[in-house]
Amino acid sequence: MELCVFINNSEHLDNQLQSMDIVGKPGPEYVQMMDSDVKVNQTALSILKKYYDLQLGQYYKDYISRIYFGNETCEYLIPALGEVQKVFKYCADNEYGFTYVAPYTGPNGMEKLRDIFEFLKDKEDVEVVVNDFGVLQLILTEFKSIKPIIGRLLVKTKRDPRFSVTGYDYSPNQLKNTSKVEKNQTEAIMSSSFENKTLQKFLIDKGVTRISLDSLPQGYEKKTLKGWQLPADIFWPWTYITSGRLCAIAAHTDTRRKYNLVDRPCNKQCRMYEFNFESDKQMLQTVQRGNAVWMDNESNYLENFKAGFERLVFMPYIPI
Amino acid sequence: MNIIAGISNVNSPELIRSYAEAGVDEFFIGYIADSWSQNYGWEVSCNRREYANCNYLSVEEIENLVSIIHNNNRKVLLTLNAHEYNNEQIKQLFRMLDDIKHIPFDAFIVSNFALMLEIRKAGIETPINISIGSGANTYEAINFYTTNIENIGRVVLPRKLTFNEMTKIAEKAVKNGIKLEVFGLTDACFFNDEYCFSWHGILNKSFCNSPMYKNRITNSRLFDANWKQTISKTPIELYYNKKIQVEQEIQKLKTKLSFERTVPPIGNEEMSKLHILNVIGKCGLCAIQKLKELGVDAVKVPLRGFMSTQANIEVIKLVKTIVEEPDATPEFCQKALNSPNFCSGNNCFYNYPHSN
Repeated sequence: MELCVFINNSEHLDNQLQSMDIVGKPGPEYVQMMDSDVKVNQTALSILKKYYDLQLGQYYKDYISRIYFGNETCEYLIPALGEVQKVFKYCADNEYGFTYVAPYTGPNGMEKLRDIFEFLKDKEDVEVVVNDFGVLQLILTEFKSIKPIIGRLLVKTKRDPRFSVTGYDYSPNQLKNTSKVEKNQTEAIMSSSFENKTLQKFLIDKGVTRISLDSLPQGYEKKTLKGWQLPADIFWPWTYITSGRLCAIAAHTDTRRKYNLVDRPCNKQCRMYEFNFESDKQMLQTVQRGNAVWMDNESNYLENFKAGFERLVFMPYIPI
Repeated sequence: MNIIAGISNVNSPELIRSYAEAGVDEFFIGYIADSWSQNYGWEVSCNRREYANCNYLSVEEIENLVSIIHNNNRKVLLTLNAHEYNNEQIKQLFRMLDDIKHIPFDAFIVSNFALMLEIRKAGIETPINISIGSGANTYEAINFYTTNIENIGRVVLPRKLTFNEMTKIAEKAVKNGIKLEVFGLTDACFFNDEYCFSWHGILNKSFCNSPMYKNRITNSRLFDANWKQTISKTPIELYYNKKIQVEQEIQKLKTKLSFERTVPPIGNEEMSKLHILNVIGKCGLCAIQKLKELGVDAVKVPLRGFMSTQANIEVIKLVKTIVEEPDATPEFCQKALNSPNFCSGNNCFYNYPHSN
C-alpha cells in the first residue's frame, strides 16, 4: 500500500520530514502537557512503523511516495501561493509526488484557489483533491490539465458512531423484521453513493482519477469497496466528523464576531486553541481543531490497512 | 419573491387554506413509504428527517394533500434530500417514486448528485431543486449542477454565507437565468449542513446537540510544529508559564463575553411572542429587501417538524408582511418582529452588524 503524508503546515516538512519522526518518550511532566494531536502523532507513527517494518519488511519512511498539502475545511487556511511553491519544491527535490488538498469554499476562497491552480496546471505528477463540486467545476472548466481526486468530504457517509435507535420508539409503523432493518441500516452507514455506476462513469468521463475515503469507525462494506471503478485511498488516523463556516473556535475568542459570519480576515485562533470534549461512551476521543471536529480513529488501523485500499494517506497531525 | 414552507402534520383543506392565505406560495413535504421503513426504519431516512414525525406515510395521504394544495393554486415539492444513498437505497427510492409517479409534484428537492443523475437517467423530467445539502457555496458549484443536470428548478443557497458572498453568487446566477432560494429563518447550527456527517436533528444523537459538545472545554495549544526538536531543550517551566498565560487570556475573554451577553430583561409583550421566536431561532428577514433587489426568487420557511400550526401561521404572516413591503428596511422588519432582544445582533443570518 502506497504511503502518503498529509500535512497542513509546511514547517512539518522541516528537518527531513520531522513530523514523521518517532522521538524518545518525553518525561511524564511533558506528556501531561501534550494535546491529543501530539500524542496521536507518536502512537499512530508507532503503529505505522510496526505495520510497514514488520509486515512489509522495510523502513516505514521509505514507503512515502507523495506529500498531500493543504486543508479540507477552511478557506481562511488556504495557503499563500509562496507556501505551495515551497512545498512543491520540497517534493520535487526529494522525489515525492505532490497533491494539493483544496477545502470547500465560498467565493473569496475560489479566487485564492485560482492562483494556486494557475501555478500547478503545467506541473508534472501533480494532483488536486477537491472537497467541493464547485472546485471540481473550476478545474473542469479552467484548469483541464489538473488531475482531480474526489476528497473525503464529498463522500458523505456518517462518521459519528453514536448511532441512534430512538426511532424504534417513535415509529408509527410496525416493523415486521427488525433484524433485517438493522442489517440494512448497518450496510447503509458503511457505504456510499460513489458505488453507483452512473456516478462512477460520470467521474471517469470527467477525468477524476481517485476517490478519498475517511477511516470509518464502522468500516466499509466489502461489496461496496469491490464495486468501485476508481482507486480508493484511505485517510488515517484522524476521522472528520463535521465542520462549518460559523467557526466556534473563532467565535469563542473573538468578542465582536461571536457565532456570526464575517467578511473580514480571520485571526486564525485555531493555531492557538482547541476544544476538548468529555466523550460519551460510544464516541472515540474527539477534538475540535479549527472549524472542524475530528475523531481519533487510530485504534481501527488493521481494518483500514487490510481492506484493499491503494493508498494510505497518513495525517501526522490534524490537518488544520 | 415566493415563500416556500415545509409542512409535516397538515392534512385538512382548511389548514392548507390557512397556510396559503397566510402567504405560502409553495409547500414542501417529506414522504416515507412503508416499504422504506420496513427496510431502513426511521434512523436511515430518505429525506434528512431521521425521525418519524416529520413525514407523510401513505400514498393516499399525499395524493390528497397534493390535490388540496393544487386546488389552492399553490405548488408542492417533495424532499429527497438525504446526503447519501447506496445502491440498494437508490433502488428502494425508485420503487417508492414508482408508486407515486401519478402524483404531480412540481419539483423534487435533492442533494445527492448520484440520485440526480439516476433520476434523469430514468427519464423523470420533474424539475430538481438543488438542496442546501449540495453545498452550492459558490457560482462555480451552481454551475456544476446546472451544467450536468437538466431542468434545475432552483438552487438553495446555504445559510452560512455573508450578504457580500451571496451578492457575488446571485449577480452571476441571476444573469444566467438561474433561480435562487434562501433561508428566511430557522435554527442555525454551528456546522454546515452539507458537510456535517453526524446525525441530524434534536431527537437524534446529533453532535451539536450532545452534552459533550455543549460542555466543551477550551484548551491551549502548547506544542508548535517543531516540538520534536525543542522539547528536550525547553525547560518544563516555560510550558507551564505559557499554559497559565493562555488560560488567563481565555478567562478574560470568557468574562468579557459573559458581560456582553447581559441583556435587558424580557418584557411582557416579548414573552407573549416567545412561541414565535422559538420557531424563528435565527433570522435573515431584514436582508429580504436586499435579496429581492438581487433577484432571489424564493425565501424558505422550513417548518417541517414544528407542530404548532398557530405559531407556524404567525411566522408565515410575518414573512409575508416583509416580502410584500416595497421598502422593507431593517427597521421595518425589526418593528414587525417587535423584539429588541431578539434583534440585538446575535440572531442574524446575513445582516450581522459587525460583519465587516
